[in-house]
Amino acid sequence: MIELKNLSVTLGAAAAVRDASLSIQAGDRLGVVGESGCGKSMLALSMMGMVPDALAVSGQITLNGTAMPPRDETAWRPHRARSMAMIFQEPMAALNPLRRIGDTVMEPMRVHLGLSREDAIKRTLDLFAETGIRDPELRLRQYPHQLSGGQRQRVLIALALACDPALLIADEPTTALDANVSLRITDLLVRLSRQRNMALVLISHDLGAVARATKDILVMYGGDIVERGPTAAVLAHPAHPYTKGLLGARPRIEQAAGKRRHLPTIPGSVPGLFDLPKGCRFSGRCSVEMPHCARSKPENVNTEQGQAACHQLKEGHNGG
Amino acid sequence: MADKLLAVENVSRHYKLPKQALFRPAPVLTAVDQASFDLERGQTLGIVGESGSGKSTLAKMVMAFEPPDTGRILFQGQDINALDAGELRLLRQDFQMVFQDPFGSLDPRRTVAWSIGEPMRAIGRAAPAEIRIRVAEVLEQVGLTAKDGLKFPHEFSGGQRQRIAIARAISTRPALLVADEAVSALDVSVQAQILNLLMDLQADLGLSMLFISHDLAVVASICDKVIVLQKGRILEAGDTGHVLGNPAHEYTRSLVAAARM
Repeated sequence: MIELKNLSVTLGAAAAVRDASLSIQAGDRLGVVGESGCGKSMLALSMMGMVPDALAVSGQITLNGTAMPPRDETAWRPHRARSMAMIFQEPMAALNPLRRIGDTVMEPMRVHLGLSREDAIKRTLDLFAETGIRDPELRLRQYPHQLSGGQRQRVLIALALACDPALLIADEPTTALDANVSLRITDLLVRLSRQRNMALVLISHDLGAVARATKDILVMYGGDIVERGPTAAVLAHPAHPYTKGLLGARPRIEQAAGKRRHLPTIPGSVPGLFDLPKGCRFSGRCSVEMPHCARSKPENVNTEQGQAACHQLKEGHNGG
Repeated sequence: MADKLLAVENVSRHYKLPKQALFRPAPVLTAVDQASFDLERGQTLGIVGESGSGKSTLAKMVMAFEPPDTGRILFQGQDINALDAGELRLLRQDFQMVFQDPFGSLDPRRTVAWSIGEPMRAIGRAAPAEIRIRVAEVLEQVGLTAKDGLKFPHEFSGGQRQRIAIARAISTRPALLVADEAVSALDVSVQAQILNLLMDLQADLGLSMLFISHDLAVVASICDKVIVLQKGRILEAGDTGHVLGNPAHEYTRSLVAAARM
Protein backbone atom coordinates (compact mmCIF):
# COMPACT_ATOMS: atom_id res chain seq x y z
CA MET A 1 0.00 0.00 0.00
CA ILE A 2 2.66 2.49 1.04
CA GLU A 3 6.32 1.84 0.55
CA LEU A 4 9.37 3.86 1.53
CA LYS A 5 12.71 3.09 -0.08
CA ASN A 6 15.98 4.55 1.23
CA LEU A 7 14.12 7.54 2.54
CA SER A 8 16.25 10.25 4.15
CA VAL A 9 15.09 13.53 5.61
CA THR A 10 17.99 15.91 6.01
CA LEU A 11 18.81 19.40 7.16
CA GLY A 12 22.14 20.26 5.60
CA ALA A 13 24.57 17.59 6.77
CA ALA A 14 22.28 16.39 9.56
CA ALA A 15 19.85 13.54 8.95
CA ALA A 16 16.60 13.34 10.91
CA VAL A 17 15.83 10.10 9.09
CA ARG A 18 18.56 8.11 7.36
CA ASP A 19 17.97 5.45 4.72
CA ALA A 20 14.66 4.18 5.98
CA SER A 21 12.89 1.46 4.00
CA LEU A 22 9.57 -0.05 4.90
CA SER A 23 6.41 -1.31 3.35
CA ILE A 24 2.93 -1.37 4.85
CA GLN A 25 0.01 -3.51 3.65
CA ALA A 26 -3.68 -3.36 4.48
CA GLY A 27 -4.37 -4.63 7.98
CA ASP A 28 -0.74 -4.28 9.15
CA ARG A 29 -0.14 -2.91 12.60
CA LEU A 30 3.32 -1.41 12.87
CA GLY A 31 4.81 0.09 16.01
CA VAL A 32 7.59 2.66 15.82
CA VAL A 33 9.52 3.13 19.07
CA GLY A 34 12.52 5.16 20.19
CA GLU A 35 13.26 8.17 22.36
CA SER A 36 12.33 11.77 21.49
CA GLY A 37 14.44 13.12 18.68
CA CYS A 38 15.04 9.75 17.05
CA GLY A 39 13.11 10.56 13.87
CA LYS A 40 9.84 8.73 14.58
CA SER A 41 7.58 11.68 13.85
CA MET A 42 9.58 12.75 10.81
CA LEU A 43 9.17 9.26 9.39
CA ALA A 44 5.40 9.58 9.92
CA LEU A 45 5.23 13.04 8.35
CA SER A 46 7.06 11.78 5.27
CA MET A 47 4.33 9.13 4.86
CA MET A 48 1.79 11.98 4.84
CA GLY A 49 3.83 14.12 2.43
CA MET A 50 4.06 16.70 5.18
CA VAL A 51 7.79 17.10 5.84
CA PRO A 52 8.47 20.76 6.72
CA ASP A 53 9.87 22.84 3.85
CA ALA A 54 13.15 23.50 5.63
CA LEU A 55 14.15 19.84 5.33
CA ALA A 56 15.26 17.99 2.21
CA VAL A 57 13.72 14.60 1.37
CA SER A 58 15.45 11.97 -0.74
CA GLY A 59 14.51 8.39 -1.60
CA GLN A 60 11.28 6.95 -2.92
CA ILE A 61 7.76 7.00 -1.56
CA THR A 62 5.30 4.76 -3.39
CA LEU A 63 1.60 4.93 -2.62
CA ASN A 64 -0.63 2.21 -4.09
CA GLY A 65 1.93 1.65 -6.82
CA THR A 66 2.34 5.34 -7.74
CA ALA A 67 5.60 7.13 -7.03
CA MET A 68 4.87 10.22 -4.92
CA PRO A 69 6.96 13.36 -5.20
CA PRO A 70 7.84 14.06 -1.56
CA ARG A 71 6.51 17.57 -1.49
CA ASP A 72 4.09 18.16 -4.32
CA GLU A 73 0.99 19.34 -2.49
CA THR A 74 -1.33 18.78 -5.45
CA ALA A 75 -0.19 15.17 -5.72
CA TRP A 76 -0.67 14.45 -2.01
CA ARG A 77 -3.87 16.36 -1.26
CA PRO A 78 -6.35 13.91 -2.84
CA HIS A 79 -4.77 11.05 -0.87
CA ARG A 80 -4.85 12.66 2.55
CA ALA A 81 -7.83 11.73 4.70
CA ARG A 82 -8.73 9.00 2.17
CA SER A 83 -5.56 6.96 1.73
CA MET A 84 -4.07 7.96 5.04
CA ALA A 85 -4.91 10.03 8.06
CA MET A 86 -3.00 10.98 11.15
CA ILE A 87 -3.76 11.61 14.80
CA PHE A 88 -1.53 13.54 17.12
CA GLN A 89 -0.41 13.55 20.72
CA GLU A 90 -2.23 16.55 22.08
CA PRO A 91 -5.91 16.41 21.08
CA MET A 92 -6.61 19.89 22.42
CA ALA A 93 -4.02 21.40 20.10
CA ALA A 94 -5.36 19.52 17.09
CA LEU A 95 -8.98 20.65 17.51
CA ASN A 96 -10.11 24.17 16.76
CA PRO A 97 -11.29 25.55 20.13
CA LEU A 98 -13.76 27.92 18.47
CA ARG A 99 -15.58 25.36 16.36
CA ARG A 100 -18.20 22.87 17.41
CA ILE A 101 -16.88 19.31 17.37
CA GLY A 102 -19.50 18.23 14.83
CA ASP A 103 -18.38 20.88 12.33
CA THR A 104 -14.74 19.88 12.69
CA VAL A 105 -15.42 16.19 12.17
CA MET A 106 -17.74 16.83 9.23
CA GLU A 107 -15.32 19.05 7.33
CA PRO A 108 -13.21 16.31 5.64
CA MET A 109 -16.38 14.41 4.62
CA ARG A 110 -17.81 17.45 2.98
CA VAL A 111 -14.54 18.50 1.32
CA HIS A 112 -13.19 15.11 0.25
CA LEU A 113 -16.37 13.04 -0.14
CA GLY A 114 -18.76 15.85 -1.10
CA LEU A 115 -21.42 14.75 1.39
CA SER A 116 -24.45 16.91 2.14
CA ARG A 117 -24.82 18.27 5.67
CA GLU A 118 -27.51 15.71 6.56
CA ASP A 119 -25.41 12.79 5.31
CA ALA A 120 -22.35 14.15 7.07
CA ILE A 121 -24.24 14.38 10.37
CA LYS A 122 -25.45 10.82 9.99
CA ARG A 123 -21.96 9.59 9.22
CA THR A 124 -20.47 11.52 12.13
CA LEU A 125 -22.94 9.95 14.54
CA ASP A 126 -21.99 6.49 13.19
CA LEU A 127 -18.30 7.27 13.68
CA PHE A 128 -18.93 8.55 17.21
CA ALA A 129 -20.68 5.27 18.01
CA GLU A 130 -17.85 3.29 16.45
CA THR A 131 -15.18 5.13 18.45
CA GLY A 132 -17.05 4.88 21.75
CA ILE A 133 -17.98 8.55 22.18
CA ARG A 134 -20.72 8.92 24.76
CA ASP A 135 -23.82 11.08 24.04
CA PRO A 136 -23.00 11.48 20.33
CA GLU A 137 -25.87 13.93 19.63
CA LEU A 138 -24.73 16.23 22.41
CA ARG A 139 -21.06 16.06 21.35
CA LEU A 140 -21.89 17.37 17.87
CA ARG A 141 -22.84 20.70 19.39
CA GLN A 142 -20.13 20.90 22.04
CA TYR A 143 -16.74 22.60 21.94
CA PRO A 144 -13.41 20.80 22.55
CA HIS A 145 -12.92 22.26 26.05
CA GLN A 146 -16.13 20.60 27.23
CA LEU A 147 -14.66 17.11 26.73
CA SER A 148 -12.18 15.09 28.79
CA GLY A 149 -8.79 14.20 27.31
CA GLY A 150 -9.82 10.64 26.48
CA GLN A 151 -13.07 11.76 24.80
CA ARG A 152 -11.13 14.37 22.82
CA GLN A 153 -8.72 11.75 21.57
CA ARG A 154 -11.72 9.65 20.48
CA VAL A 155 -13.06 12.67 18.57
CA LEU A 156 -9.70 12.98 16.79
CA ILE A 157 -9.83 9.30 15.91
CA ALA A 158 -13.37 9.75 14.53
CA LEU A 159 -12.12 12.74 12.55
CA ALA A 160 -9.24 10.70 11.14
CA LEU A 161 -11.67 7.94 10.13
CA ALA A 162 -14.04 10.40 8.45
CA CYS A 163 -13.05 9.38 4.91
CA ASP A 164 -12.27 5.68 5.58
CA PRO A 165 -8.48 5.91 5.31
CA ALA A 166 -6.57 2.80 4.34
CA LEU A 167 -3.78 3.79 6.73
CA LEU A 168 -4.03 5.47 10.11
CA ILE A 169 -0.87 6.97 11.58
CA ALA A 170 -1.12 7.62 15.30
CA ASP A 171 1.74 9.75 16.65
CA GLU A 172 1.93 9.30 20.45
CA PRO A 173 -1.87 9.13 20.71
CA THR A 174 -1.89 8.18 24.39
CA THR A 175 1.07 10.05 25.83
CA ALA A 176 -1.03 12.86 27.27
CA LEU A 177 -3.60 10.49 28.79
CA ASP A 178 -3.94 8.66 32.09
CA ALA A 179 -2.71 5.08 32.17
CA ASN A 180 -6.08 3.34 32.11
CA VAL A 181 -7.59 5.74 29.55
CA SER A 182 -4.53 5.18 27.43
CA LEU A 183 -5.13 1.43 27.59
CA ARG A 184 -8.68 1.86 26.28
CA ILE A 185 -7.59 4.14 23.42
CA THR A 186 -4.87 1.68 22.39
CA ASP A 187 -7.40 -1.15 22.35
CA LEU A 188 -9.81 0.99 20.33
CA LEU A 189 -7.15 1.58 17.65
CA VAL A 190 -6.51 -2.17 17.40
CA ARG A 191 -10.22 -2.94 17.14
CA LEU A 192 -10.71 -0.34 14.39
CA SER A 193 -7.74 -1.65 12.46
CA ARG A 194 -9.11 -5.22 12.64
CA GLN A 195 -12.71 -4.32 11.78
CA ARG A 196 -11.81 -2.08 8.87
CA ASN A 197 -8.75 -3.97 7.65
CA MET A 198 -7.03 -0.63 8.04
CA ALA A 199 -3.26 -0.41 8.42
CA LEU A 200 -2.13 1.19 11.66
CA VAL A 201 1.19 2.85 12.38
CA LEU A 202 1.53 3.47 16.10
CA ILE A 203 4.36 5.80 17.04
CA SER A 204 5.08 5.75 20.72
CA HIS A 205 7.81 5.80 23.28
CA ASP A 206 5.55 3.58 25.38
CA LEU A 207 6.83 0.07 24.76
CA GLY A 208 3.86 -1.38 26.64
CA ALA A 209 1.32 0.17 24.28
CA VAL A 210 3.26 -0.95 21.22
CA ALA A 211 3.62 -4.47 22.60
CA ARG A 212 -0.11 -4.65 23.17
CA ALA A 213 -1.25 -3.15 19.89
CA THR A 214 1.11 -4.05 17.06
CA LYS A 215 2.22 -7.06 15.06
CA ASP A 216 5.53 -5.64 13.86
CA ILE A 217 7.94 -3.15 15.32
CA LEU A 218 10.57 -0.69 14.15
CA VAL A 219 13.08 0.60 16.67
CA MET A 220 14.57 3.97 15.74
CA TYR A 221 17.61 5.68 17.13
CA GLY A 222 19.17 8.89 15.86
CA GLY A 223 17.21 8.73 12.59
CA ASP A 224 18.19 5.13 11.80
CA ILE A 225 15.96 2.10 11.94
CA VAL A 226 18.18 -0.02 14.17
CA GLU A 227 16.00 -3.08 14.61
CA ARG A 228 12.80 -4.51 13.17
CA GLY A 229 10.76 -7.68 13.31
CA PRO A 230 7.61 -9.15 14.81
CA THR A 231 6.80 -7.13 17.95
CA ALA A 232 6.52 -10.00 20.40
CA ALA A 233 9.73 -11.68 19.23
CA VAL A 234 11.79 -8.49 19.16
CA LEU A 235 10.66 -7.41 22.61
CA ALA A 236 11.24 -10.90 24.03
CA HIS A 237 14.68 -11.30 22.45
CA PRO A 238 16.03 -7.91 21.38
CA ALA A 239 19.20 -8.13 19.29
CA HIS A 240 20.30 -4.49 19.11
CA PRO A 241 22.00 -3.01 22.18
CA TYR A 242 19.68 0.03 21.99
CA THR A 243 16.54 -2.11 22.05
CA LYS A 244 18.00 -4.03 24.98
CA GLY A 245 18.80 -0.78 26.78
CA LEU A 246 15.31 0.64 26.25
CA LEU A 247 13.65 -2.51 27.53
CA GLY A 248 15.97 -2.71 30.53
CA ALA A 249 15.39 0.89 31.59
CA ARG A 250 11.64 0.41 31.80
CA PRO A 251 10.43 0.28 35.37
CA ARG A 252 8.48 -2.91 35.88
CA ILE A 253 5.77 -3.17 38.40
CA GLU A 254 6.08 -6.89 39.08
CA GLN A 255 9.83 -6.76 39.74
CA ALA A 256 10.14 -3.55 41.63
CA ALA A 257 7.26 -3.51 44.14
CA GLY A 258 8.76 -1.16 46.65
CA LYS A 259 12.26 -2.60 46.68
CA ARG A 260 13.93 0.66 45.68
CA ARG A 261 16.51 -0.95 43.44
CA HIS A 262 18.53 0.89 40.81
CA LEU A 263 17.21 0.63 37.26
CA PRO A 264 19.55 -0.22 34.42
CA THR A 265 20.10 2.87 32.26
CA ILE A 266 21.53 3.85 28.92
CA PRO A 267 24.30 6.34 29.75
CA GLY A 268 24.00 9.88 28.36
CA SER A 269 21.11 11.10 26.23
CA VAL A 270 20.16 11.27 22.56
CA PRO A 271 22.59 13.74 20.93
CA GLY A 272 21.28 16.68 18.90
CA LEU A 273 20.79 16.28 15.17
CA PHE A 274 24.13 17.91 14.39
CA ASP A 275 26.11 15.99 17.02
CA LEU A 276 25.19 12.48 15.92
CA PRO A 277 28.13 10.17 15.26
CA LYS A 278 28.69 9.45 11.54
CA GLY A 279 28.77 5.67 11.78
CA CYS A 280 26.52 3.83 14.17
CA ARG A 281 24.29 6.50 15.72
CA PHE A 282 24.30 4.64 19.00
CA SER A 283 28.07 4.74 19.44
CA GLY A 284 29.06 6.78 22.45
CA ARG A 285 26.22 5.34 24.52
CA CYS A 286 26.58 1.70 23.62
CA SER A 287 27.81 -0.84 26.16
CA VAL A 288 29.33 -3.19 23.57
CA GLU A 289 30.90 -0.56 21.33
CA MET A 290 33.93 -1.37 19.20
CA PRO A 291 36.52 1.13 17.94
CA HIS A 292 35.17 1.38 14.37
CA CYS A 293 31.50 1.73 15.36
CA ALA A 294 31.55 5.52 15.42
CA ARG A 295 33.01 5.67 11.94
CA SER A 296 31.17 3.12 9.83
CA LYS A 297 27.45 2.68 9.50
CA PRO A 298 26.36 -0.84 10.38
CA GLU A 299 24.51 -2.86 7.75
CA ASN A 300 21.23 -4.57 8.44
CA VAL A 301 21.84 -8.14 9.53
CA ASN A 302 19.23 -10.86 9.68
CA THR A 303 18.60 -11.93 13.24
CA GLU A 304 16.48 -14.72 14.63
CA GLN A 305 13.67 -12.24 15.18
CA GLY A 306 14.05 -9.96 12.17
CA GLN A 307 16.76 -7.48 11.28
CA ALA A 308 19.12 -5.31 13.26
CA ALA A 309 21.88 -2.90 12.32
CA CYS A 310 24.82 -3.47 14.65
CA HIS A 311 28.47 -4.24 13.97
CA GLN A 312 28.54 -6.75 16.81
CA LEU A 313 25.90 -8.86 15.09
CA LYS A 314 27.66 -8.76 11.78
CA GLU A 315 30.89 -10.11 13.18
CA GLY A 316 29.11 -13.13 14.47
CA HIS A 317 29.05 -12.10 18.11
CA ASN A 318 25.76 -12.18 19.80
CA GLY A 319 25.73 -8.55 20.88
CA GLY A 320 26.00 -9.52 24.57
CA MET B 1 6.90 4.39 66.39
CA ALA B 2 9.36 5.72 63.87
CA ASP B 3 10.14 9.39 63.50
CA LYS B 4 7.22 11.21 61.91
CA LEU B 5 8.29 13.98 59.54
CA LEU B 6 4.96 14.88 58.04
CA ALA B 7 1.45 14.26 59.31
CA VAL B 8 -1.58 15.08 57.19
CA GLU B 9 -4.72 14.98 59.30
CA ASN B 10 -8.22 14.92 57.81
CA VAL B 11 -7.40 17.42 55.14
CA SER B 12 -10.03 18.60 52.65
CA ARG B 13 -9.92 21.20 49.94
CA HIS B 14 -12.81 22.56 47.89
CA TYR B 15 -12.76 24.79 44.86
CA LYS B 16 -15.65 26.93 43.70
CA LEU B 17 -16.37 26.34 40.04
CA PRO B 18 -17.57 29.06 37.69
CA LYS B 19 -21.28 29.80 38.02
CA GLN B 20 -23.46 27.83 35.62
CA ALA B 21 -26.54 30.01 36.07
CA LEU B 22 -27.06 33.50 37.40
CA PHE B 23 -29.31 32.73 40.36
CA ARG B 24 -27.98 29.35 41.40
CA PRO B 25 -25.00 29.03 43.75
CA ALA B 26 -21.71 28.13 42.04
CA PRO B 27 -20.99 24.39 42.04
CA VAL B 28 -18.20 23.22 44.35
CA LEU B 29 -15.50 20.73 43.44
CA THR B 30 -14.07 18.66 46.27
CA ALA B 31 -10.47 18.21 45.17
CA VAL B 32 -9.30 16.49 48.35
CA ASP B 33 -11.73 14.81 50.70
CA GLN B 34 -10.70 14.00 54.29
CA ALA B 35 -7.22 12.73 53.50
CA SER B 36 -4.94 11.54 56.29
CA PHE B 37 -1.47 10.01 56.08
CA ASP B 38 1.96 10.12 57.71
CA LEU B 39 5.41 10.21 56.23
CA GLU B 40 8.35 8.95 58.25
CA ARG B 41 11.88 10.27 57.98
CA GLY B 42 13.87 8.69 55.13
CA GLN B 43 10.78 7.16 53.58
CA THR B 44 9.32 7.57 50.10
CA LEU B 45 5.57 7.74 49.84
CA GLY B 46 3.98 7.43 46.42
CA ILE B 47 0.70 9.13 45.61
CA VAL B 48 -1.00 7.66 42.55
CA GLY B 49 -4.23 8.45 40.80
CA GLU B 50 -5.38 9.78 37.45
CA SER B 51 -5.63 13.44 36.47
CA GLY B 52 -8.25 15.16 38.59
CA SER B 53 -7.84 12.76 41.51
CA GLY B 54 -6.41 15.48 43.76
CA LYS B 55 -2.73 14.50 43.70
CA SER B 56 -1.42 17.94 42.87
CA THR B 57 -3.83 19.71 45.23
CA LEU B 58 -2.48 17.53 48.02
CA ALA B 59 1.07 18.47 47.02
CA LYS B 60 0.23 22.17 46.99
CA MET B 61 -1.18 21.93 50.50
CA VAL B 62 1.84 20.01 51.81
CA MET B 63 4.04 22.72 50.28
CA ALA B 64 1.90 25.39 52.02
CA PHE B 65 1.10 27.01 48.68
CA GLU B 66 -2.57 26.63 49.58
CA PRO B 67 -4.26 26.15 52.94
CA PRO B 68 -6.61 23.23 53.47
CA ASP B 69 -10.28 24.10 54.12
CA THR B 70 -10.40 21.65 56.99
CA GLY B 71 -7.77 19.55 58.76
CA ARG B 72 -4.15 20.14 59.67
CA ILE B 73 -0.77 19.53 58.10
CA LEU B 74 2.04 19.03 60.60
CA PHE B 75 5.63 19.26 59.43
CA GLN B 76 8.14 18.23 62.10
CA GLY B 77 5.29 18.60 64.55
CA GLN B 78 4.40 22.19 63.56
CA ASP B 79 1.11 23.13 61.94
CA ILE B 80 2.38 24.84 58.79
CA ASN B 81 -0.77 26.93 58.44
CA ALA B 82 -0.48 28.30 61.97
CA LEU B 83 2.92 29.89 61.30
CA ASP B 84 3.35 33.56 60.43
CA ALA B 85 4.90 34.50 57.09
CA GLY B 86 8.43 34.86 58.46
CA GLU B 87 8.40 31.55 60.29
CA LEU B 88 6.98 29.81 57.25
CA ARG B 89 9.66 31.28 55.00
CA LEU B 90 12.35 29.91 57.29
CA LEU B 91 10.68 26.52 57.49
CA ARG B 92 10.43 26.35 53.70
CA GLN B 93 14.11 25.43 53.40
CA ASP B 94 13.16 22.09 54.92
CA PHE B 95 10.63 21.14 52.25
CA GLN B 96 11.23 21.66 48.55
CA MET B 97 9.50 20.66 45.36
CA VAL B 98 10.41 19.35 41.91
CA PHE B 99 7.86 19.91 39.13
CA GLN B 100 7.03 18.00 35.97
CA ASP B 101 8.19 20.55 33.48
CA PRO B 102 11.64 21.90 34.34
CA PHE B 103 11.44 24.29 31.40
CA GLY B 104 8.48 25.99 33.00
CA SER B 105 10.16 26.30 36.39
CA LEU B 106 13.56 27.64 35.31
CA ASP B 107 13.87 31.28 34.24
CA PRO B 108 15.04 31.18 30.60
CA ARG B 109 16.87 34.51 30.93
CA ARG B 110 18.87 33.64 34.03
CA THR B 111 21.85 31.34 34.35
CA VAL B 112 21.27 27.98 35.91
CA ALA B 113 23.44 28.95 38.89
CA TRP B 114 21.17 31.95 39.53
CA SER B 115 18.07 29.75 39.50
CA ILE B 116 19.63 27.17 41.79
CA GLY B 117 20.62 29.89 44.26
CA GLU B 118 17.13 31.37 44.33
CA PRO B 119 15.69 29.42 47.28
CA MET B 120 18.78 30.22 49.36
CA ARG B 121 18.46 33.92 48.54
CA ALA B 122 14.75 33.83 49.32
CA ILE B 123 15.47 32.50 52.80
CA GLY B 124 18.06 35.24 53.15
CA ARG B 125 20.43 33.54 55.58
CA ALA B 126 23.39 32.76 53.31
CA ALA B 127 26.12 35.14 52.06
CA PRO B 128 26.66 35.33 48.26
CA ALA B 129 29.98 33.51 48.51
CA GLU B 130 28.37 30.70 50.48
CA ILE B 131 25.62 30.42 47.88
CA ARG B 132 28.19 30.15 45.09
CA ILE B 133 29.96 27.29 46.83
CA ARG B 134 26.72 25.49 47.59
CA VAL B 135 25.49 25.83 43.96
CA ALA B 136 28.68 24.20 42.68
CA GLU B 137 28.28 21.46 45.27
CA VAL B 138 24.70 20.56 44.38
CA LEU B 139 25.42 20.67 40.64
CA GLU B 140 28.03 17.98 41.19
CA GLN B 141 25.69 16.00 43.41
CA VAL B 142 23.17 15.71 40.58
CA GLY B 143 25.79 14.64 38.04
CA LEU B 144 26.51 18.00 36.36
CA THR B 145 29.62 20.17 36.72
CA ALA B 146 30.10 23.50 38.47
CA LYS B 147 30.76 25.04 35.03
CA ASP B 148 27.27 24.08 33.86
CA GLY B 149 26.00 26.73 36.26
CA LEU B 150 27.08 29.45 33.86
CA LYS B 151 24.84 28.16 31.08
CA PHE B 152 21.18 28.91 30.40
CA PRO B 153 18.30 26.41 30.62
CA HIS B 154 17.88 26.04 26.82
CA GLU B 155 21.40 24.65 26.55
CA PHE B 156 20.39 21.51 28.41
CA SER B 157 18.41 18.42 27.48
CA GLY B 158 15.17 17.55 29.28
CA GLY B 159 16.90 15.10 31.60
CA GLN B 160 19.63 17.59 32.48
CA ARG B 161 17.04 20.29 33.17
CA GLN B 162 15.33 17.93 35.58
CA ARG B 163 18.72 17.42 37.26
CA ILE B 164 18.98 21.20 37.61
CA ALA B 165 15.52 21.36 39.17
CA ILE B 166 16.56 18.66 41.62
CA ALA B 167 19.81 20.52 42.40
CA ARG B 168 17.78 23.61 43.22
CA ALA B 169 15.42 21.63 45.42
CA ILE B 170 18.22 20.07 47.49
CA SER B 171 20.22 23.32 47.73
CA THR B 172 18.64 24.26 51.07
CA ARG B 173 19.27 20.79 52.55
CA PRO B 174 15.58 19.95 52.88
CA ALA B 175 14.25 17.05 54.91
CA LEU B 176 11.33 16.54 52.52
CA LEU B 177 11.26 16.56 48.74
CA VAL B 178 7.90 16.71 46.96
CA ALA B 179 8.21 15.44 43.39
CA ASP B 180 5.10 16.14 41.29
CA GLU B 181 5.24 14.00 38.13
CA ALA B 182 8.98 14.69 38.14
CA VAL B 183 9.86 11.98 35.61
CA SER B 184 6.65 11.84 33.56
CA ALA B 185 7.86 14.00 30.69
CA LEU B 186 11.10 12.07 30.21
CA ASP B 187 12.04 9.23 27.88
CA VAL B 188 12.46 5.82 29.53
CA SER B 189 16.25 5.75 29.54
CA VAL B 190 16.47 9.28 30.97
CA GLN B 191 13.64 8.52 33.37
CA ALA B 192 15.65 5.59 34.72
CA GLN B 193 18.66 7.89 35.22
CA ILE B 194 16.62 10.43 37.17
CA LEU B 195 14.94 7.75 39.30
CA ASN B 196 18.38 6.35 40.14
CA LEU B 197 19.59 9.84 41.02
CA LEU B 198 16.64 10.37 43.34
CA MET B 199 17.29 7.02 45.03
CA ASP B 200 20.98 7.92 45.49
CA LEU B 201 20.24 11.37 46.88
CA GLN B 202 17.73 9.90 49.22
CA ALA B 203 20.23 7.40 50.57
CA ASP B 204 23.06 9.99 50.81
CA LEU B 205 21.07 12.87 52.28
CA GLY B 206 18.47 10.95 54.28
CA LEU B 207 15.67 12.69 52.36
CA SER B 208 12.03 11.83 52.71
CA MET B 209 10.04 11.99 49.52
CA LEU B 210 6.47 12.49 48.50
CA PHE B 211 6.45 11.09 45.01
CA ILE B 212 3.40 11.94 42.93
CA SER B 213 2.86 10.06 39.69
CA HIS B 214 0.20 8.54 37.51
CA ASP B 215 2.62 5.79 36.51
CA LEU B 216 2.38 2.84 38.86
CA ALA B 217 5.47 1.15 37.45
CA VAL B 218 7.54 4.22 38.34
CA VAL B 219 5.99 4.42 41.80
CA ALA B 220 6.66 0.71 42.30
CA SER B 221 10.35 1.16 41.63
CA ILE B 222 11.00 4.04 44.02
CA CYS B 223 8.37 4.15 46.79
CA ASP B 224 8.26 2.25 50.09
CA LYS B 225 4.63 3.09 50.66
CA VAL B 226 1.83 4.12 48.38
CA ILE B 227 -1.50 5.91 48.55
CA VAL B 228 -4.12 5.45 45.84
CA LEU B 229 -6.31 8.51 45.32
CA GLN B 230 -9.58 8.66 43.43
CA LYS B 231 -11.76 11.74 43.25
CA GLY B 232 -9.96 13.24 46.22
CA ARG B 233 -10.40 10.25 48.51
CA ILE B 234 -7.76 7.82 49.68
CA LEU B 235 -8.90 4.42 48.42
CA GLU B 236 -6.06 2.37 49.77
CA ALA B 237 -2.74 2.90 51.44
CA GLY B 238 0.09 0.68 52.60
CA ASP B 239 3.41 -0.92 51.66
CA THR B 240 3.98 -0.65 47.91
CA GLY B 241 4.56 -4.38 47.48
CA HIS B 242 1.40 -5.20 49.35
CA VAL B 243 -0.94 -2.65 47.74
CA LEU B 244 0.24 -3.38 44.20
CA GLY B 245 0.48 -7.11 44.79
CA ASN B 246 -3.01 -7.46 46.27
CA PRO B 247 -5.03 -4.42 45.22
CA ALA B 248 -8.26 -4.30 47.19
CA HIS B 249 -10.16 -1.89 44.95
CA GLU B 250 -11.33 -2.31 41.40
CA TYR B 251 -9.80 1.07 40.58
CA THR B 252 -6.35 0.06 41.86
CA ARG B 253 -6.64 -3.21 39.95
CA SER B 254 -7.31 -1.28 36.74
CA LEU B 255 -4.26 0.92 37.37
CA VAL B 256 -2.09 -2.14 38.01
CA ALA B 257 -3.40 -3.76 34.82
CA ALA B 258 -2.65 -0.60 32.84
CA ALA B 259 0.89 -0.48 34.23
CA ARG B 260 1.48 -4.15 33.37
CA MET B 261 0.73 -3.82 29.68
